[in-house]
Amino acid sequence: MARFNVYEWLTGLGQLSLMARDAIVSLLTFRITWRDLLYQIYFIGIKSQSVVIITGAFTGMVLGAQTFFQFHKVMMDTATLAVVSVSMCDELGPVLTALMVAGRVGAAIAAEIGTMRVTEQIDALRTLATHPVDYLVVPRLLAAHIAMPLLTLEAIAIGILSCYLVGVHLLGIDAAFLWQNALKYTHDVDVVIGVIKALIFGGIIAIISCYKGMTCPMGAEGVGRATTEAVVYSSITILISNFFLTLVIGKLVGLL
Amino acid sequence: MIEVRQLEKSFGTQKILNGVNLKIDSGESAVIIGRSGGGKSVLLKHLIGLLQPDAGTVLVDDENIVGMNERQLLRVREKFGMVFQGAALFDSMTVAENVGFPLARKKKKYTAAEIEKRVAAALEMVDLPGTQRKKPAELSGGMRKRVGLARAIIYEPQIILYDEPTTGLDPIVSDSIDQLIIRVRDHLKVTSVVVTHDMRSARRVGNKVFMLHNKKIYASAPPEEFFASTDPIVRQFIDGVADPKETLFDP
Repeated sequence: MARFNVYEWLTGLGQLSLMARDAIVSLLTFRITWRDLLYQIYFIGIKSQSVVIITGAFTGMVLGAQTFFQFHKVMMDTATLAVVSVSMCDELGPVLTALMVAGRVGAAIAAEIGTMRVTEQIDALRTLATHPVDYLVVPRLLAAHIAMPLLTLEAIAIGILSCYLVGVHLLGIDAAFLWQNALKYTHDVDVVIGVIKALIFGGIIAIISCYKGMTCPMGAEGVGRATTEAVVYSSITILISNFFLTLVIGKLVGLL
Repeated sequence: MIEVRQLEKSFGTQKILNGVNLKIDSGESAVIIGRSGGGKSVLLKHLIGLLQPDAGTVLVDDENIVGMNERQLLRVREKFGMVFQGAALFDSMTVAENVGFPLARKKKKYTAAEIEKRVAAALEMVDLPGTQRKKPAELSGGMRKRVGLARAIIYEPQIILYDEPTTGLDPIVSDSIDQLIIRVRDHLKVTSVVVTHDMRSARRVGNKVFMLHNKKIYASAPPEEFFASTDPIVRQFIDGVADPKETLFDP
């Protein structure tokens, strides 16, 4: 049983890699339908606004409040925004945005492509001399690569802004020192780290969700399973890869 | 021309096809009949490379398509049109977008006006003029199959494959689909391969009948000869008589 599971898992990983390779080759040879790409950017980017704004705002606020409660004990109130700003840029902004997008967009992608597979629409695409990767995966992958960094930047900015507002108006921290400290400890590189992570997470969400949809087992239950697995696997991959990305990018930044 | 030699296919431990041989000449209208779950659709999907066999060869115009990768197959598939059992229309698109899809994918060749004109002509051919703006969900089963057929013929393929075109339709709609298949065959001079278990349909649209039985092609003959056969297995299938040993309940 265990051997079968490992075999299945490795086969899946191989197929996913082949699909990713196909998608990259297709991207490099510009087999893109611009209309589909624009629609996907709209779907992944614009339609995720409410989710990302709420995530960014409340994460910033709660992190600010909690940091303040702890720092207040050692009279470091004005360092609150600096802590929030660095953690939003480096970790929370990209990771939480990616998790929310995985839940919303990943599920939708897997369900849509899975239903297409079950109703033979993917076979129909193939008979109409259209490569499913060109038509279904590439626009979603590229759109996720474009939308995710923008969404992440938005979440970071809103998180910092809401922390500032809570700090100044609710917790009574001095606005000038709060802002000055934040600027002093947050560097350009923190924002760059956030954007790089967002780019990678966007790719992870799109590839895993498309793969789960394309290999969806037959039947309504199959579509349900593919959808759940797309969200779960994307989320887990994001969390695990985030740790390694932090180490690798940290090392690279240290070298620069 | 399509030729299949010693085709074998299993799903898991279950063997579906075991040594299938058949040859369909250009311009011929072949009907593949056989029992439900007997591997007819699986065989049809091998002809266009949607499935890869475990062994054997599939020659399309003398080119072996077995072992080709997906991109190589795309070129071969330009010769084919396929009508699916459930029509397989893209449900996020309108009828016009569905039918015009193969042309729109080749943007360099066709302008929007040309596509519109050809979509209208294709819909006219399948007796569904003026349905361009409808969504597939608004259409009946028979209408969907017609739209599926319009989508398959719009780029004028040389070979059209039909997967159970009349299954699930009432006799009158089935008859109109049969007439449509004949009309497409005669007007566009295409090779047709029809998979069905509808005997009436098989008799009308085919000029060669292949019977798939026991994972192999059991019989192949022109329809007159086939339907006059005295072979007990062929006869049983034509007459639709269940084997008493296989009935679930005692009569």
